[in-house]
Amino acid sequence: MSHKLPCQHCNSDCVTKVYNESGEVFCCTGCKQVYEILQNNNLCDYYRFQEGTSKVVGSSKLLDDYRYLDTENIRKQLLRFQQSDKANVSFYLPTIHCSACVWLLERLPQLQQGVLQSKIDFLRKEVDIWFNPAQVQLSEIAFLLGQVGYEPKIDLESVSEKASKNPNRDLYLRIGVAGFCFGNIMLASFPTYLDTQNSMEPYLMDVFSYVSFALALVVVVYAAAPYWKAAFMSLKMRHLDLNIPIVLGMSVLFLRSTYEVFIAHQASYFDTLAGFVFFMLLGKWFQQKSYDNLRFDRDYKSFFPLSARKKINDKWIPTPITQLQKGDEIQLQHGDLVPADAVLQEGIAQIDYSFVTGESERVQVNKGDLLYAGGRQMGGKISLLLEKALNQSYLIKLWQEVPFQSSNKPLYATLTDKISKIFVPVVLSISVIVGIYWYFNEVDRMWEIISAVLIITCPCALLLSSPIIWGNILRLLAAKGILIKDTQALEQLSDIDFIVFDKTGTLTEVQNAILQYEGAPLSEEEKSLIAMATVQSGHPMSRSIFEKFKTYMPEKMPEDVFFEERVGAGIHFNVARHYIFIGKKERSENGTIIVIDGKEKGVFLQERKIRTGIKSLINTLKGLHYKIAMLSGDGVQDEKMMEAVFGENVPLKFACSPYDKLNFIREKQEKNHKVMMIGDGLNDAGALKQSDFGLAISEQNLQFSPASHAIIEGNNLVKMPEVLAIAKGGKKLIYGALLISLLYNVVGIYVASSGMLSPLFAAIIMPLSSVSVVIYGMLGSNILVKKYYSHIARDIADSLTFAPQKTSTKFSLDIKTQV
Amino acid sequence: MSVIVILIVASLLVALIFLGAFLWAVRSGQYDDDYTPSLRIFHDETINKQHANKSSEHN
Repeated sequence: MSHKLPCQHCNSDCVTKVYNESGEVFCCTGCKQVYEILQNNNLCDYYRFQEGTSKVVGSSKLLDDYRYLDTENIRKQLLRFQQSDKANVSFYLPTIHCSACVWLLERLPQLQQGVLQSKIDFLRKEVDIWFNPAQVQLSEIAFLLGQVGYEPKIDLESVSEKASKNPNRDLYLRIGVAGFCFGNIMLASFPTYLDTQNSMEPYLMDVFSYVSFALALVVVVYAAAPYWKAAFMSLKMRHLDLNIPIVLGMSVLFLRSTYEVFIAHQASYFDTLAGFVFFMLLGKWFQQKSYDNLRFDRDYKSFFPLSARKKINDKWIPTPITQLQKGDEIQLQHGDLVPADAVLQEGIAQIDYSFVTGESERVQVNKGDLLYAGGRQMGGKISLLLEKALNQSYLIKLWQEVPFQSSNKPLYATLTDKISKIFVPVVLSISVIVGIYWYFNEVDRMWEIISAVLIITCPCALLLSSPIIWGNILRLLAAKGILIKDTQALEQLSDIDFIVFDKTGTLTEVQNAILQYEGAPLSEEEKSLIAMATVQSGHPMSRSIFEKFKTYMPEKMPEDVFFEERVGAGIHFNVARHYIFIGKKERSENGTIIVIDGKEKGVFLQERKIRTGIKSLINTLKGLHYKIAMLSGDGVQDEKMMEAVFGENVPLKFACSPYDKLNFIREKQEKNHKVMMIGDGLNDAGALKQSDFGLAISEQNLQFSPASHAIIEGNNLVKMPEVLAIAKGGKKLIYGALLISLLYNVVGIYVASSGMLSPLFAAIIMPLSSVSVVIYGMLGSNILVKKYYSHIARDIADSLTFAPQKTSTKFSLDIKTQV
Repeated sequence: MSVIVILIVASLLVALIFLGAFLWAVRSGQYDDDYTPSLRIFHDETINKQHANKSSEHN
């Protein structure tokens, strides 16, 4: 019924229209705001880099909202470097998503005088800004970023100690050095391989050997240092891991070669040694590739703001929330987080506890009632009297609980750990047996052959198999939207036999509640009136009503409309003689009534919707003999619905506190179950951490999720059976890789123990075994993921019944309610 | 044949220069972010074009 009109800024269809002075059309004021800033600064090239629809919309925050950044206390904590004319700050900008973002943000100096340089780290979604504090304030920079659509996320975590150096730097250096030494030792060893008739002049042989020795010394001392350290640690903790045979092999290689060079004047094994260290470091690098923009170890700090306005001498002064004390009076505005458990003093509190409980419905709090830390005030200003300091609050205390102290959880023994427990004794006893044999046959060669056995059994291929296979699966899954923390987490996933679901926000969708209308049928005109009345409101109920009626929205909003929205008291809307009220009849009542021209037309009811495909997911998991349970923090009102989803023999627990959830998982673990917890929200944080595999569901660009082993978006949940199968398949692949390296070892041990091992043979067989394991691992894991993923791709297409939510609508609506 | 010793030393020195360059690059942070530069690569060109267009308009 309406022709399409793309927004000048974000290129999406304009449902409501906002025009600027030159008549260009925008879908919302946020888009218009960004466009105007860019136009005024000759930065419209931005739109040429832009592909498809833009996801950034100007923030509605005011400069005053950022003023707290300029207070000395907070400023000092945020700045990384400070001089009178130069300062450095770094912000996390969650909305960075494309190359146009990089282009625009790196031109900040053009937008704001005093900004000297800005540099983006795309994967971390961070901007690193150098500015002149004499010309521009921190608050102005943050405000500008918000204005152009990149509102910085400033929270308690921004000021906590962070490793400024990239942890990979160290590894890169070692790989570089090992690679350099490996290459040059090869060069120096090559002549000795070709010299089959021993015709080389002896002094030349020595020169080559001394060069190799010097380079190998660097490899052993510098490049291999982490292995020495790790082996020392594991000896100290009396925990036998693969580092021991590595270090053993390395020392024997080095000592034997040193002997060959300086005493026997023979060809050495230094090339094998350097190659071995180089390959191992490469394996480590492959495994270490991680997602820089995701934080799996998030604690409460990333959920809480930096400061709150505290009452000091009748003025509201921004104060770091870590300095807030019991008895302080603070003020919150729309969208602010309750920083600590507090009592409501003044104002109407509509608290959204969605990231505490996963429940998006707002809770009305009366004067004198307790508000819990982590709730978000939606609506007007309120003032609170703090009952507790930040770290005494209920939710924060959860973090200080046992499971959050990582040392209390037993170390997970990986497959390679288990194997090395067998591997080391077996290798040692083989060398003893071989040694005894040669002692009685040719005692002169005994030490030479024992060392040869130890050299050839060095578990290089064994060590590579796990990082290559898990690392590759990790990357392939990440490309499909299943983000797992590290290779160890993936391995833990393959052992899971018990799956625990959280209800709200996990099984049910937070946003897509089904809207039902009961009452008299509505005419076209009435529907259009309702659309006009609700378009301006940011309340979730109004938004879902608007979604339902948005096709009835007139092309242009009539000029003389009256709109008023009072928090908790509904919407009053007047247009051309019509009067509309949308809201609750009684505060406590369920459902929103529609009154048009004094007549009550009907009621809108919201029913929480279960995610698409959950029921078949549960059935599939049951079919695969996984044990299942459900824990919910809510009351029993949804019991019937949940019984229908889970069927029989599944424990369903309602009204669980965060501690109950945690204890439930602990109980199952004591019964030797490997438990996976699927949840969202801070109330699942304890359970997620305690479980053997914590899976966090996140809806908002994966930004807000508690500490976990993996993060996925809600609609990926139905892929769980395939992901579990891939993890199990990965384990089988590793067994295959072990078999391959074992075969090479058997050949190697035979050659070594019969006294035929030569440096040339070692230099060929060792890299060969590593390379075959790498090729096998890469191919195998690719085939594995592809095999299961063809199912997944189909399922996803089926389950995507709801359109992806457009963020811009939400932002624009928020702006309008505030105006 | 003793010339080969000099050659070895020379080749090692050249290789060391490259190793040094690599170490410097890593230490100065050039390997910290290996993704963003790939997005940045086309940007400057378009900017120059814009400037070129502008100056030609003025003429």
